[in-house]
Amino acid sequence: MTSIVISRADLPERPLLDTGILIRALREYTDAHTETCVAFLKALLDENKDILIAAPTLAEVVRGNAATTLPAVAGITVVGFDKQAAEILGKGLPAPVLKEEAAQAGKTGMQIKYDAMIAACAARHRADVVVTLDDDMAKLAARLRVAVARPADYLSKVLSLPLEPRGRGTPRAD
Amino acid sequence: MPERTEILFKIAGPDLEPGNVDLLPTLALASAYFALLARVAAHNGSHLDFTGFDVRKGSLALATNTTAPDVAKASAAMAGTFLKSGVVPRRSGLRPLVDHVRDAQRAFSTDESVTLCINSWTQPVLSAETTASGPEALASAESLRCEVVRIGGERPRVRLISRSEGRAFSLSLGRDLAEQLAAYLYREVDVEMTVRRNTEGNIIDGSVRAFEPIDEKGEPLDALRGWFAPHKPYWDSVEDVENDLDRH
Repeated sequence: MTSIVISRADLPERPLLDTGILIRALREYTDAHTETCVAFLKALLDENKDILIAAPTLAEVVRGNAATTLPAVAGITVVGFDKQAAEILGKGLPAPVLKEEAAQAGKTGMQIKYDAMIAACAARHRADVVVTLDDDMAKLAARLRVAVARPADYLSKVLSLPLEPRGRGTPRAD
Repeated sequence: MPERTEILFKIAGPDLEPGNVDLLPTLALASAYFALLARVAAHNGSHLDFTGFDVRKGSLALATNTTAPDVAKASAAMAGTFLKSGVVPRRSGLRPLVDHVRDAQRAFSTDESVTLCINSWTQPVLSAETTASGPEALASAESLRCEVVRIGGERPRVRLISRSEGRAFSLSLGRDLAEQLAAYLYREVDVEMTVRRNTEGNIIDGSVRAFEPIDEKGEPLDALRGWFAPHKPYWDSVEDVENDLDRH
């Protein structure tokens, strides 16, 4: 069993969590990144950090008709893709740039737009970092001058043990 | 001894009183502005002195004196042009001082004003005119988490601080809404608003449409899990999250 230790002193004050981080931190199914995502979210909440979730992430997570509303709770803020975010996106990642990024990433324009909207939400709402496992998202956020990190970047450098990916489909033991 | 003329640095704004004015932004703006005036005077080959410091009792006015009131007026008028346009003469050394004043201006709410007064002569230091982009600015509906830092007035207004914004801002609202929102003074709420911004992106006016209190006692993780629960069966069936999201 691996031992996940988050370096709490290094945690960001106002991180925006990308969709993949949130899903892994909340579902049962585990993959190689699950334990780090779960520990990272728990550490952020324990330390009363100001967690941002972009509204487009809600659209990516919601499946089917059984939608619920995320209540307004301290410590978690859903931030909207509004006029300010649209202007940041238009200036920092205009359509030709998005097309180029989509072509390089082998994605359609529609797919890359979700990523770009999330990155623009981070810039607009003054997130100090976008935490993601998606390299393409990292490139987009960097173009908008938003810092980017992976959950593993916050592992304690002193106490963490080597990580071995667990088997796919392993039930999570909380 | 040369005759000294009084200069007043007057601050005004709805619900602004000597007892609740923010000290540090006020002193920062005054310091930056008077430094700019002295530099503008030097740029024009003149000397501008400011001596003495007083706060007018019962008002929001800082007072000082100068022996060169005409130089002060000319420098203030020229500084006003630099501040409004952002354009300064090349190699004048004025750029950092203008930027310093503009940074200090951002700490003020858009419905607050600052005026320099020399006898009956006045020059705006901070006003809607110096910060707004004009009537063409498009209003937009937004939702922001904000702390309520001031609320009230005959025509109710609320002053809010949001970590999504660079500076505090004030919005109008109806009396019923003001009465409800007043219960959340110094607490955070999610505010739905219609706002207008200047060219720098700062909110210059707007109104509150509704607000939602924050559950301060609720467990955030429980809230996230409750929201995610209906979608969990789907995501538990997904091996590769990024592939499902079309991220690669």
